[in-house]
Amino acid sequence: MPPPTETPSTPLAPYRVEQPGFEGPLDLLLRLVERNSMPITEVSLAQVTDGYLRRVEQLQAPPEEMSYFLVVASRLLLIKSRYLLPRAETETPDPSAEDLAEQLRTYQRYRLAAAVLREREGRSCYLQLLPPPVPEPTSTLMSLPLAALERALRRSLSRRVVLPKGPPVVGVRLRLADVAARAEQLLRREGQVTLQQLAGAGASRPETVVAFLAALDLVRRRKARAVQDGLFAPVFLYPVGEDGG
Amino acid sequence: MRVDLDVLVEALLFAAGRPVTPSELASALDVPRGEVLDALCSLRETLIDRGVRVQEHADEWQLVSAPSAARTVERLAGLPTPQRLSPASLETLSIVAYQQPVTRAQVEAVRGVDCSGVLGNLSSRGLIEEVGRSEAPGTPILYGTGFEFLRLFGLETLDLLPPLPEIEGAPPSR
Repeated sequence: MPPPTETPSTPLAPYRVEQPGFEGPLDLLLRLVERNSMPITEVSLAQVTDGYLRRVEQLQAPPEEMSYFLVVASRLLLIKSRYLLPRAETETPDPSAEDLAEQLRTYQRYRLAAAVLREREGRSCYLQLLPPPVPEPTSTLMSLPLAALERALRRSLSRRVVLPKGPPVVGVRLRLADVAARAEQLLRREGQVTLQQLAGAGASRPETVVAFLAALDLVRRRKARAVQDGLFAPVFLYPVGEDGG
Repeated sequence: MRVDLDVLVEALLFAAGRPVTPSELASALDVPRGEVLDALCSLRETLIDRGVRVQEHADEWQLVSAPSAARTVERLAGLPTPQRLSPASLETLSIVAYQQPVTRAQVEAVRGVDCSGVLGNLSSRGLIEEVGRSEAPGTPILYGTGFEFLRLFGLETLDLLPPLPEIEGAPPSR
């Protein structure tokens, strides 16, 4: 345990550094109560409220984690307020205070149980470690002499491979530079062009891809800027003016 | 006759090398299941201070090495010492162990924080397992511990889990 740093003048380091292991609001609360070696009661909870709030203030935690700390903080504040204000004789005991104390006591029991388990941890029992017998892999290749393998290889290599005749492969004459040049031309003439126009009506997949790449290229070279108003909306390209906008 | 069955049950547990049910043993031995159970219990008594122990979980029985031999067995087999659980994991595991079968919401009610990640880790290490579904709305998963939990903590059965600690000075619960 680190030495108590309860004086408000001592600023606390962010909690993950100073207290590498607190595991949530109840853990923090329990540590504060245990530091004072008090039983968990409404009174002891009221006494550690300020300490708790100081820690939570320093806490750097993601919002969803933070919310758990804040729930407990609000319950603590309620308890403390009841504790400080004079209460009427007829007032019934505060259920929320008793709930939190009870919850903390339950949590403490499991924390102690975890400590007991920790002492046993790693005193492992082992099953028989001998792996079950695995049958030797049997393969017809095992019995083949090397010479026979060589003959088989030569035979299969000497076999003429006849490729099936198919339609001739024609290279696609679609070049990024051409499309980019066409885009620049359109921009000069029209002042704007959409990605769809650039690809052409009923564009094939390669045409669409090249048009997209051409647009990216123009943006990269600061020849155009691209604007899209929303998800799946048309992408407009505008020429980049002299002022750079 | 009595002694013979004990010997046979011990031999079968050893040779099986995996958890077996009393029914399996009964059919292999061709004796009533009740007699096998008696033999298993008496074997457990016999082995209580030996190098092998009888471990039992959910009607399955197996022979394991004694917890006190853990380090030696690990050295022999070249096994790494199991990685220690994080405080959050151990805390969560103890809640599951003592309250099982238990839902995630019940675990979170004790710890006061989200436990889905920790429960996932414990599941993937095999220390907890799904043991059914609660009848509560949404039929949430019920978690419990399995053999792997008993193994890691050197327990022969779940009954040997130390009692949940009482807290001194706590007022009696309402």
